[in-house]
Amino acid sequence: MIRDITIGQYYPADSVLHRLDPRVKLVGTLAFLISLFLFNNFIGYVVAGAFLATMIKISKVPFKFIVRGLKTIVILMLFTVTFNLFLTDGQILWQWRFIKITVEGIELAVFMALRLTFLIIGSSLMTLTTTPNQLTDGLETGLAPLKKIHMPVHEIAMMMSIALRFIPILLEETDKIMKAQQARGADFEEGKLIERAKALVPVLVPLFVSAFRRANDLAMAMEARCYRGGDGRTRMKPLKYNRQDAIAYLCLTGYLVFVVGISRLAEVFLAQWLG
Amino acid sequence: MADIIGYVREKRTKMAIYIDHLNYIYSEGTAYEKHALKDICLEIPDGQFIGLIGHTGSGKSTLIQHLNGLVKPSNGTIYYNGRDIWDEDFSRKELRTKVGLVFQYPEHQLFETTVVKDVEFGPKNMKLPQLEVNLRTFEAIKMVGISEELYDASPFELSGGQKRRVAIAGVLAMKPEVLILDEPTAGLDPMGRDEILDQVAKIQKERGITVILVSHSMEDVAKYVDRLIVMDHGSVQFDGTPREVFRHYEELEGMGLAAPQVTYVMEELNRRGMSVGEATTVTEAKDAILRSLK
Repeated sequence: MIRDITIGQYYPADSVLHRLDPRVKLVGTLAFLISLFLFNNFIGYVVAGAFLATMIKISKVPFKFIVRGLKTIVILMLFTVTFNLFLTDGQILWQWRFIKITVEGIELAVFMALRLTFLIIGSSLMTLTTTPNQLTDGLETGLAPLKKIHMPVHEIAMMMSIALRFIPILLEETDKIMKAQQARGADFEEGKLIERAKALVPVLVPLFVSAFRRANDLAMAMEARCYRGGDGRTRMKPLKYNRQDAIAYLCLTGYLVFVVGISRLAEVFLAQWLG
Repeated sequence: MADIIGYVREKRTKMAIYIDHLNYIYSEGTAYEKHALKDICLEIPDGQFIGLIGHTGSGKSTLIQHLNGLVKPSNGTIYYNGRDIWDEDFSRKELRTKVGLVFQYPEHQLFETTVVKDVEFGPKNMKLPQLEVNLRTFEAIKMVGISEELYDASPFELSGGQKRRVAIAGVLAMKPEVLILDEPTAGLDPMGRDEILDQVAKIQKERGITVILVSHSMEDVAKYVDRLIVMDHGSVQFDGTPREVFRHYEELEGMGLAAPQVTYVMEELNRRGMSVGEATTVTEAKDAILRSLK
């Protein structure tokens, strides 16, 4: 049950995407997400979808694994689609009191659903191909210029990597404690809502205790190794751009220009053809 | 043919636990897939004191979580008193009160405000009458040797060894017919270790229950158990009395395990021409050596 959560999970494989510099992937994901809002017609979605499909193919992450991450946003998706479908003004196709389906509504609903799907798949593709450590390294080096305006970049990155590192540990711990309490007759599946909420107390108390204990141990271990923040700290594996990263940046720019250009062109043509 | 089926069924009914070709695969269908248990077949009769030994990652913890229905086998069947525990009408909640499982570092699951309340958790979940709950709770706390002035203390204020005993009492209070302890002595000092193991042995005798003691230390278990099961890479490698198993000390070393030191002493004495026979505990060895010197 708990193992189904895939957001932020890493999928080990040997692919170009896995080997890319994390900064490239961060910038790339951000660019891809922004690109989704730069167009508003069908052609744009086709191009973005094709780009995403190519990336998934290159990443060697099984498609099944990626789709699993979508499960978590099904409800959100249903909400947006329903609202857009029934509450958009425009050319009316079907109406019942204040609920109506319009051409514009259908278009908007489909586009929003696609946009959400692409958003989630795009960002989970990054976390699936980048280890949490690489990710925070990339973030720290990428945000380094902000140090000039006294942003604690190193501290933020460190907090992020610790938080990410603790997710699987705490999930495992939860699983273990739940099993231990089940072995003592606890029941998490049956009963009314209030009973079920009460049944979680024997899980949450030990979980909090253990989280604090782990945090304490970690702080102690860091102190014992004389950790004192980012100043003057060097790295064992400093991030370095190489050829494939340059190529990746080029591809990315190519994609951005192409997707914006072709959707603008399509709009112009469409306007002429209709007008 | 009918006779054979009848015989097998009867055998299974008499057996407390019967494991039939059990396989378990972790995270099937993902990159983390791992074949954790491979074709395990075991018979565990009533009243036995069993040591389950294996290196870290050998599958012993996974195996015991199958025995009370916490983990569902990928394939294979587990019978408890002759009934398939994954049958639709079989209550696994009830099974868990009969097959008591004490997890590794059980003190990490304590959550109540007082020792008594925490131990009560199990019997209360069984929906027993309050009087019975109280009786079982106090009996269990007494059994593990927690003194009366600690009954109303917060379990978080106790020492490590005391916490662990309270946690064990929490399972004992359900009066299980089979008691499984996963590394009950991990992280305890030698005295705490001996105390806990002695208490477990005493409870096993008094109640006549089946006990499965999981450990990676031969030395700990050899003294207490009637039967040793050795696991490596998800399958059972040896199954027999401690003496039979320790004869394979060379293979055991290959699995990252070792026979008790005294086995090596006896082996060396035999090799140097002093026929002392075999021994698995220090006391046995002493007697054997004295006998050969007479």
